[in-house]
Order: sequence, then C-alpha cells, then structure tokens
Amino acid sequence: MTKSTTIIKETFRPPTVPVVSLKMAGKRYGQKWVVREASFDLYPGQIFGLVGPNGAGKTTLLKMITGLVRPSSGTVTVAGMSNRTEKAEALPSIGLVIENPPAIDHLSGLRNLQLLASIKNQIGATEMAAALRQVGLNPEDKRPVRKYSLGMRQRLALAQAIMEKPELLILDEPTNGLDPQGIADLRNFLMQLKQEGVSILLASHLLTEVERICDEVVIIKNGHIVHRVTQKTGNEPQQMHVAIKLTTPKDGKIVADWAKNKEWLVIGEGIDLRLQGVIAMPALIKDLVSLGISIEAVYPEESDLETIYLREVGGLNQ
Amino acid sequence: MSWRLLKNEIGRTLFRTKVLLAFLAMFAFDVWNVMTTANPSAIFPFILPLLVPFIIGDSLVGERHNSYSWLVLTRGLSKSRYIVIKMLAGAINCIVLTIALTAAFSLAGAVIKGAPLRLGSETMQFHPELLLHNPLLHAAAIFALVVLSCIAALGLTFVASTYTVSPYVAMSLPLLIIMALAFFLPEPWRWLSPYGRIIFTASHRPWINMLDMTAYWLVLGSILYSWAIIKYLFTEGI
Repeated sequence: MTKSTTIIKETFRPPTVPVVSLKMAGKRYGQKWVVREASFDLYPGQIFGLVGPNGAGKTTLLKMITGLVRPSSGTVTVAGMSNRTEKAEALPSIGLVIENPPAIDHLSGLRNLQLLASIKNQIGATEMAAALRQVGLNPEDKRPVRKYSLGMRQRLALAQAIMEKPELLILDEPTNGLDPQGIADLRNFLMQLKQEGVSILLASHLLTEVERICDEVVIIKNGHIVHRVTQKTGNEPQQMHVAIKLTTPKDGKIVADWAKNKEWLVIGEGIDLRLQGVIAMPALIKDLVSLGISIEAVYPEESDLETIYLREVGGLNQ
Repeated sequence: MSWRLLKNEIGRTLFRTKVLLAFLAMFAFDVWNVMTTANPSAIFPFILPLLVPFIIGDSLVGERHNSYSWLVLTRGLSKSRYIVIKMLAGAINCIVLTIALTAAFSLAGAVIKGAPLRLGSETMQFHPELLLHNPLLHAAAIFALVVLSCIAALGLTFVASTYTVSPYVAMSLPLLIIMALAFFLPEPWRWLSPYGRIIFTASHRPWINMLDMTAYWLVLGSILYSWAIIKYLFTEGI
C-alpha cells in the first residue's frame, strides 16, 4: 500500500488537466516488474519529485513518460494524449536532462544545441545562445564539449532541455557534478520555470533539494511507489507521525481499530505501530490510557523527507 | 526534416579527428606501397572494409550507449526515421571515404610515379565481363565493390548493435566475424566468407567474377540491414 505524508509548506493548487498522468502504469521485462502500479498526476506549474535508491525504477518510469518504453500495464498520458499512439503531438513539448548528460564530444556547446534543435527546427541561434547564457555558459565558447567539466556538461544538458521552451521538463539527477553555487542556481532557475507554468519532473538523490522545491514527492522502492509526500499550505492542520510500542500484541488490534475510526493511517501491527494523521500527543496518550492499553513507549517521529525516505527504503529501524 | 538531419549526421560523423587519422594512416600505407612496389595496387580497398566499423560505426551504437538517442527521440523524431538516417549517413560516409582515398591514391601515384594510378593492378582481371578489360571500368568496378563491402561491413555493426549496448563490442564484432569466418568456415562453405571478397579487391589474383562479387555484397548487405531495421523496430527502446 502507498502511504502518504503531508509536509507543511507553501501551497500548490493543481489545475484540472494534468501534463503527465500515470494510471496504474507498470513495466515488466520478462518475469520481473521494474515498475508496478505507478499512479500520479503532474500539473502545469508543479514540481514533482521522484526519489528512490539506485535501480528502484525511476529511469524506467521516465522512459515510459517520454514514450521510449511501452507500459506493460496501465496508461501513461502526456498533455492528455497517449505518448505512444499520439507521440508526435504529445512529445514535442518535453525537455529532458539525463543522468551523465550525453553530448557530441568533439563539437562545441552551441553546435550541440544546433544539432538537436535542427530536429524540430523551431528556434534559431538567438534562442540557443540565450539558453546557454541562462544556464551560465558562454555561447562564444568554441571549445569541444570533451573539454568541459562535469558541471558544464550538466549546464549544457539543461540548456538543450530548455532551449525550445518545453511545457514539461524531465530532469534525471540534474545536480550531478554541480558545485553548491550551481545547485543554488539550478534551484532558483527551476523555481522561475515553475512560476512560468512549466511542469517539472525531478528525479534526484539530493533529498534536501527535492524537499525544498517539490510540491509533491513519491518514494519508489523496487518499482513500487511506497510513499507519497505532499506539500500543503501552512493553514492546514499539521500531520504527525507517532510511533507506539505496546506491551501486549492483543492491544495492537484495539489501537489500530480505534485509530482507523479517527481516520488516521495505521502502519504496522502487533506491538509496534505507527500512526499518521492530525494527532495531538497529550490527547493521544490520555485516550490510550482510557482504552486500557498498556503502553511501553509513545513518541513523535520526524516527518521530513529524509527520515521518511530512510524509513521506507530500509535505512532506519532495520 | 530528414535531409537536414542527414546532412548534419554526415557532417558530424565524417569531420572528426578520428576519421582524419584513419584516412591519413590508410593514405600513408598506400603511399608506402606506391613508393616500394614496381606494380603498386591500392591497399585501402582491403583495409577500409575491415576498419570502417571502427571509423564511423560509433554513430548509432555510441548514441545508444550514452542515451543521446533518448534526447533525439523525445524531440519527435520517430525511431524508424532515426535509424534510417543513421544507416543512410553511414552508407554515404563509406562512399565519401572511398572517393577520398581513391583520389589520394591516384594523386600519390601521379606525384611519385609521374602518372595517376587507378584502383586494381594490371594483373587483376575480371571474368567473364569482357567490357571490364577497359582499365577505367575496371577501376570503377573495384571502387563500387569497395563501397559495397564497406556498407555491408557497417551493416554487421548495426546488427551487432541490436544485441549489445556496448559500442566497443558492436564495433569490434564485424572484424572478428569476418576473420573467424575466413579461418573457421568448412571448405564447402568457404565461398560465404566476406574476407575472400575483400582481399580480392586489393590483390593481384586473376579472374574475379564481377557479377558474383556484386551479388554477394548486395545480398549480404540487404540481409544485414533488413535484420538490423527489423530488430530495432520490434525491440523496445533504442
């Protein structure tokens, strides 16, 4: 089951038509499901984060969205159209940054952009030079890309992704090789694109950055979306994670049923339970005592993205 | 859209240091041959088909390896068009390289021997096409066979690339296959070996059957390219 968490932050209110929509999408190679039952919507002006360990299925998910691989189950739509049957209409509005950004190494940055831009032939040298300047590269730089640092290659990758002003920007590990200043620049740049209505799908291992800029984040493990973190307005009541350790397993069922009646999410069973919801600690303890539950410990858990991530992928409590 | 992409593809794969170095090496080899042999014959018709997968074969396999093809395909270019552009550009590059080397060989002959040299040796004769006793047609026939053998060798790279994402494997396999077939095919099947038909173009052996050679390269090339196209189109991803 996919769990969800809400972290208080500036609000994002989705419009009605998603730019990307996955409905129970899955991908199987042979007998192995690389992505299973993935469902989420990405709306215009939203930044959506994908996090998970290496090999979790993030890249396959991105390939499904860009139409490079066909889903084995479920549907994937881009701008309301199937990215396979209506590829020509759906795909031209996607900008893509791939991990370990590829480029034609013996050509200059500008020439690389020219080659890629020649496919759609929608923009000229001015727009390409502007895109290079926007990411901090010099369009006059004649050096071949093989002489670029990793950070410069990453900037070039970003330039090719944004030069045609896509509606959807897909970024797979865009911070690789960037120095702290570069990361800050990228963050500001993405926030600016978001303001302009660009939808951004961001796969990254930098959880603090993801938490900082994403409106919604999903944690993927072994091809499953195991947790969904939504950032909501500070006016809404705060969600809490509370861990409870009981002395007798039979109390676990009583607590779980009671918590479900309160519409809290219950994770675990027996003597180890986690509750998630709008929970007030003093009232919780009072209620448990009044129910006659024998408690060994009750404590609030951190609910920042890193803690949730480590808990979900097995880094904590294992 | 396709013509522009084809032109870009040819330009970016041909005008590289790697291609220039390979060209200079083959040219130097031929100059050495012209200088040291009384009756020189161009050696590049033998070397080029064996090396062409290394020289320009990385165009498709390299892009698959580093996911550059992903960037291209998300810009609305269909996979079939992308592959056809790669193959056409490869074929045109084979023609350009052969023309450049033929011209360089001829020029080297003019400078060193005082008269331009043609492809093929004086002792090399085609049979039974009597028309090809004309020296110019003779040279043109060898030129065509070199081009066809290069294109077919590149076809082997395309086929190999459908089974591996490693560019090094895809570029090396054609040479390995050609050499392995030359040595390990049983005698009754030896006529299938491409190596024999590559070395003929640069050797002094008599009685080469032009029709047989042309048919061989055309059939082999068609099989390889069809195989690669079908495999690419019916395999997911790129």
